[in-house]
Amino acid sequence: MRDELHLMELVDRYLDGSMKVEERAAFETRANTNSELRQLITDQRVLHEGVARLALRSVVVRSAPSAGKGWIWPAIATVTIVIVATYAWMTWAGRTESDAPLIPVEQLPPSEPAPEVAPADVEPQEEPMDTLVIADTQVVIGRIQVPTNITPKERHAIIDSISVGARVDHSITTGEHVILLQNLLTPNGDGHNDRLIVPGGPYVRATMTVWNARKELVFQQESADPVWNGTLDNGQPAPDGYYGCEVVAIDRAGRTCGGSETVWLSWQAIPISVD
Amino acid sequence: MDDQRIIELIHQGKDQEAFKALYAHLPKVEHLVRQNSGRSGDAKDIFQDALIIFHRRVRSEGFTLTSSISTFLFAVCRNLWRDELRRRNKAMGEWKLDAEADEPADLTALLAREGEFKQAEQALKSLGAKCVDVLTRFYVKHEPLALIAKALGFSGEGAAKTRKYKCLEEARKRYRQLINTTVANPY
Repeated sequence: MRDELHLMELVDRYLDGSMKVEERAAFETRANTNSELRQLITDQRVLHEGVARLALRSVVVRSAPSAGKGWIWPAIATVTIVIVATYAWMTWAGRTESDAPLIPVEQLPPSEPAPEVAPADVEPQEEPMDTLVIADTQVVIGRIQVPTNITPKERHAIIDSISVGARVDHSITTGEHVILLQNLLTPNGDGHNDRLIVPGGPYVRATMTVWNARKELVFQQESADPVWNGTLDNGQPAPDGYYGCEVVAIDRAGRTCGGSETVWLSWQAIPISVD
Repeated sequence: MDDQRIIELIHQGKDQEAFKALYAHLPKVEHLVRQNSGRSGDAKDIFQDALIIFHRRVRSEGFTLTSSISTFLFAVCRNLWRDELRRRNKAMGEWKLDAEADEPADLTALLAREGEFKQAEQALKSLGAKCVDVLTRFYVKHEPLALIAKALGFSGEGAAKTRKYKCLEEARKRYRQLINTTVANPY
């Protein structure tokens, strides 16, 4: 390790310009005949830049004006609570979905952990609120409070964020093949959203990539039919929260299809009884 | 705040003040992204990348401002968003812009390595806060090893040096792994 450490320090000094002229020339000669060393220099240069950028990024994020849309993540989290709690209640009461009651948000247990992506600058909003009714295939499963001044598009985004339909859209007009992924992953074995799959498969080749909210790579699989069951490489369950998923695939007609989605992973979700 | 003042702030190390002023350019980028199948969260992500790119450029040797900051930031964002859409398999609509002719000529070269830097950041971040702290103190703030050891509770200079080495080595390993396995650039 001593040699490697020494080499790394040499590269450091080479990159920060503190090497003397003769030493520098000798080092460059050495690098010219040694591709491994050249690679080390290239990598270390990129990593130095990475360190500098990471430090800057925290300043950039800190300097951001507080978000006016700060309510949207809490709103989505609340919707998740509504769904989970409603299902729990339905299971407990042994009722069918059509009997599902309207559960006011205030009565729900606030036990769900906040998603990791929730911005730190969320403040209680004092805007006028509307009640948005959340329905899944025509069955009302909850209501949430949203500001009255949001656009229809934003309302749609909230509802969309809890829908779990997954399909492939082949648009004739634009020639795009968009894979619409599910946005809920609850690996509780109840047969609903237990696995993150690529709709429309099997493909000739498909790559699924999953990142956590900190944009760290969590999972990647290339196969005809990639599937993520919510576990990490080491077999441990990935923590509850939001994950970014991206899929790129070639279908059997030779078309390139792709899609990305923010997926809410919850191990806490209570299984729905399957009849 | 005029462009020259912002560049002065960056040279003086008053980054936060400079970035706060630069956020005034965000709405235009938000508009661009929302017009092209993105959300405002996407806009914020690429805008923050553009701020970092701008900062690195200002601090690089031989920097001169060849266009207005607004034009520069917007051109960078447009490029980043186009790449991102390509990754998502979507095309960017025609975007009419009067200032387009002003686009810095070397932008493609400037952005060519963005993917690698992004991967490097990701690899470093995945090491955890302590490693990032050691490396930042050493490579960005240029603190002496003895001071780093004291600040972070290592037994001495040697221990700090070893930790720095191990962190960078592990970062390099993860970085290579990302470069070799990731087909699409994580954004």
